[in-house]
Amino acid sequence: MRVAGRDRAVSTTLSYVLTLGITSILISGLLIGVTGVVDDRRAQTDENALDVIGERIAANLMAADRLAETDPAATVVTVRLPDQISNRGYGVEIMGGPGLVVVTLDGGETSVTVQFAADTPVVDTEVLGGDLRVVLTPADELEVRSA
Amino acid sequence: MADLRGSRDEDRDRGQLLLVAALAIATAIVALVLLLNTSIYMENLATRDTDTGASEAVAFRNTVEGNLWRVVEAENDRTYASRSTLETNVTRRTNRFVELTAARHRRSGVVAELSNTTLDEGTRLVQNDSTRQLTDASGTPDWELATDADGVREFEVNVTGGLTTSSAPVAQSDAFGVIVEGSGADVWSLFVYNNGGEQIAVKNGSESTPTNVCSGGFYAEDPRVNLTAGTVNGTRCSAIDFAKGTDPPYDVSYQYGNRSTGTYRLTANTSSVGNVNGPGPTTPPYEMPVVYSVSTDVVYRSPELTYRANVTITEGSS
Repeated sequence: MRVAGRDRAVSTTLSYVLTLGITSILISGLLIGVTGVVDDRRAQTDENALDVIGERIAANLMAADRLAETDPAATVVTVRLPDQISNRGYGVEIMGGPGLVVVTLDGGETSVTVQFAADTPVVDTEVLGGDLRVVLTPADELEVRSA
Repeated sequence: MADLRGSRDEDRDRGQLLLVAALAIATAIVALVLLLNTSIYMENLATRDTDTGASEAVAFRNTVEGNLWRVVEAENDRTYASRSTLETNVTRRTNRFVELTAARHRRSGVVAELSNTTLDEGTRLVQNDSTRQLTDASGTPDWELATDADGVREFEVNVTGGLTTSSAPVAQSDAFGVIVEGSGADVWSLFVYNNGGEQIAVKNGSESTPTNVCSGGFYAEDPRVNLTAGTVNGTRCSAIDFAKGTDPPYDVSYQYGNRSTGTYRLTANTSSVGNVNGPGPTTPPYEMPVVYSVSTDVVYRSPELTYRANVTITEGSS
């Protein structure tokens, strides 16, 4: 009866292993799914945030442009913006020629472009995210600087 | 016999998989909550007003540009005899005006003010006796009314009689005339004489001889010539274009002031005037100090905006 003796209690072990295996698969699936959702939401949130920041910069740039039309001696418009989005810094690039504000999250994988229209020439610049100032330079150009 | 109760150590090891999975999911939920927080913050930022007060700044500037001159002109019209008294009172009224205008902005924590305000000196020359000749205070017929004036306005001469008879157009140089000499010795002049009826002749800076202008039916009565507005007895005469062909500063003089009687009035952007009485309203001709223009910096400072514009406020800017 040696063989019969080895088979004893096999079903208990087997069901235990099966339970563990199936549970692991289910939990892995759940984790992978959740991770995907979090990543998606994160990318979406980042993009929305960059969009909002770009729009605010463009809006203030155009406000400064309207003020510059009145031929002032000095115009400084302050744009209040967060230093970080999702615990990451970001950079702002102003392209005066085509009239674009490009906001890029550190790492470079997420970037948003917002258009603006200004009659006053706008200087091409790159600044770090955070509070910004739109300044009318003595050469009658608008320049975006860090506050 | 199998150990059915199991040992205590085994009990502690049980459920590890669930625990780890639960922790991982909890972490993911926390991450989602943080993202949600960022998202809410951005929504908040997105719906916040982007107005930096630019329109308020422009409104303040327009209020100053549009109304300050009336304040200054009210003091000019009060016929002061002393320039320092005039300037003190103009400054006081200007400050009061700005205080009232800025009150509305100050309530919202904004600095709205004028700085570096300078008053440009001007002089008003008046002769209001229509029987007097157009000579200076001691009777000299050829005399300079104003020297180095950067501008002249409200220059009106009402010739009332005693005009020299002269044959047009050669001998206008013998008639009563207003001579305006510009910076490059270019001369603009206007003559009023009698040639079987009053005649007006104008010589622009680029021309060598005067030309009769605005004759047909312009003046049934004594001509009242507004040199700066270009009118005769209130009718537009476009040929009278003050100081055309010359550049400031101007020297304004009369020639043959003894060949006519009349009244006149002019405001020149200078404090250097000829031999007249005054200052202050007295025997004509007399001078009165006035403020010709006001140059000032309109300053508007809020937490979001700094705006400064230099404006010059003078007659016609309001």
